[in-house]
Amino acid sequence: MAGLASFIVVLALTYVGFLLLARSQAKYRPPTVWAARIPPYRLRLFGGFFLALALAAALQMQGVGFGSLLWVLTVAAGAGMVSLRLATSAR
Amino acid sequence: MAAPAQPDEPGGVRLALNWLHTWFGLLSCLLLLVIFWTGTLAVFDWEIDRWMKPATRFTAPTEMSIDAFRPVAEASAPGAEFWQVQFATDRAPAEFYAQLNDGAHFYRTIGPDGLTLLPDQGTYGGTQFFYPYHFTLNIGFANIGLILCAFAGIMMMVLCVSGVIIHRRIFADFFTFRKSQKSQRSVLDLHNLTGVLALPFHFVISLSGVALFSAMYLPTAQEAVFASDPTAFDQNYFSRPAAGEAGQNSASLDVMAEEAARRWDGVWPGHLRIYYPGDANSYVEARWPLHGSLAARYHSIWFDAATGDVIAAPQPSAASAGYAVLWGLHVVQFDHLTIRWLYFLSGLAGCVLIATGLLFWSQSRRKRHAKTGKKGAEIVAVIAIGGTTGLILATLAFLISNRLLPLDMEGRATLETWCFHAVWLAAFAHAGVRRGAAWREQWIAIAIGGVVAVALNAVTTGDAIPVAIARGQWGVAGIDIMLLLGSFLAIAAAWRMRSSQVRTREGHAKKFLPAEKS
Repeated sequence: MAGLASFIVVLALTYVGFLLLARSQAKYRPPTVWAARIPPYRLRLFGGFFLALALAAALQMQGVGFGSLLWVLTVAAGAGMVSLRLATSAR
Repeated sequence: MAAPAQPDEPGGVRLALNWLHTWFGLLSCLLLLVIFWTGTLAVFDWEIDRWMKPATRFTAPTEMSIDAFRPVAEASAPGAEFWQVQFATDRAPAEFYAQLNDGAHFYRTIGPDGLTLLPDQGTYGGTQFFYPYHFTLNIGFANIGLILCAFAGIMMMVLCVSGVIIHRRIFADFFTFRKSQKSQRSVLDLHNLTGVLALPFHFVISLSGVALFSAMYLPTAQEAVFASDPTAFDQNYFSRPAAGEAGQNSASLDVMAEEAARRWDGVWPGHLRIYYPGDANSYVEARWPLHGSLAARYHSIWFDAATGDVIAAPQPSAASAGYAVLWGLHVVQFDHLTIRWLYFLSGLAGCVLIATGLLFWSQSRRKRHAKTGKKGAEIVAVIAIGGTTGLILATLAFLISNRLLPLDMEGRATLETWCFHAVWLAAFAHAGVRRGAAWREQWIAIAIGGVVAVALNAVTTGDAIPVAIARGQWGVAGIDIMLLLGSFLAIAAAWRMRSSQVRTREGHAKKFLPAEKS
């Protein structure tokens, strides 16, 4: 159960991180005024920050060995969810 | 086949590697599909065992007395070269294994009382079929299976590295999946997406797979170190020959296990193996458990069977500790259910990666090959169908035959494997005859097969999903749930293909391989 809780936390953080990274790409930017005002580098910075936060959470909750492995595998899941969201919202 | 571009041409390195990626991928695709699929299933090999061996569905006590069990072991495998008891874990009951003098193997599950052996369950299950299939293809003759898998490991590494280099837009590929575009584009997007998303997994699993085969690639190192005693490498770096005369093996095995646990700060051994039982030179190996940590340390303490004294207790070197991490990352024997599921999903992503690579190759050349009369695209399409849906169907046939064949049938385990291979072969033949339509028909067969397997499990064992959950048999329930989920996805895929084929006939964009031969 502790593993599942860690996964959910890490997944949420990586999802936010990758969503920000994706939004930094011109074609995935929402056509809103506020979005246009945020420079892409800042989105990438925040995206990277969330990914780092996810790694810190994984290491804290699962230790170095399982934590880093959980992060690596969950990063793929988070990025996959963002891809799915972008693919479905683009229809 | 066009010649690869020269590296000194503009964009030459990428083009050359693109050529390498395409043709190496094509050469090893079926082999890689089989290895990835069986490896993915092997992540839950003990759970598959419980599904296929209903008598082992009990909550095993994690502690047992080997001294009390010893008479049972010696009576079951008299004159064995060695016998071992693998202690129960959360995933698996205690197992007894012996290697007899004629080279035959003897496997049995130890009953819940820790004093009896269950009768032969008449199946190889996950641990003796899917797991060895992953790295030997179950071809023992002249080590052909091992050699092919070692070759596939190198190929996968080449494909990973060349795949990364040929992708200019690796960051953008993280998010690019255009499912509303034409089929060929979607297939390539899915290939890129699964490749990029699970790249760390693919890279680690290929690298660790290659590392595990290191003795096969570079046998001279092993031969040089173990020149005086070649068997010592297989016996975990220690061995001594049998004396050939009877001896008193009176030392307590339980005390040896306790001594090993004391030296390992309370970590109980994974198994105890007794070499040459009854011989004057008999000795006992207590091996570190694989399920406790990420690193799969093949780390042992050896005892003299007569006196119980420690013969050897080497400390693992830094190199072997590093190797243990690679080993652990590959064999996934640790108790971490979430990571186990993530491995399973990543393994499936690997299967999708290979299958979409094949499909893209076939789709992109279909029209050209049809015009010029070449058969390449058609053959690859047949391999794609047989290697994906055909392999899933074969797995279902393996499970269904397990529930249908009588338990006391002679050669039942072998017959199950025949069912697997016969259905797989039939799936290839069906793909060859029906071409594009085979996709949909095989998805429908998978949907039916999944439901039939779950129903048969419920009828023949009484462990329907709610009952299995109530009994705490989460492994069995989990497999049933995955089979039902797989059936649902297969029906969805078949439905989608039907819609696509209808649209194709109406002249709309093709989304999947068409039913008609082009």
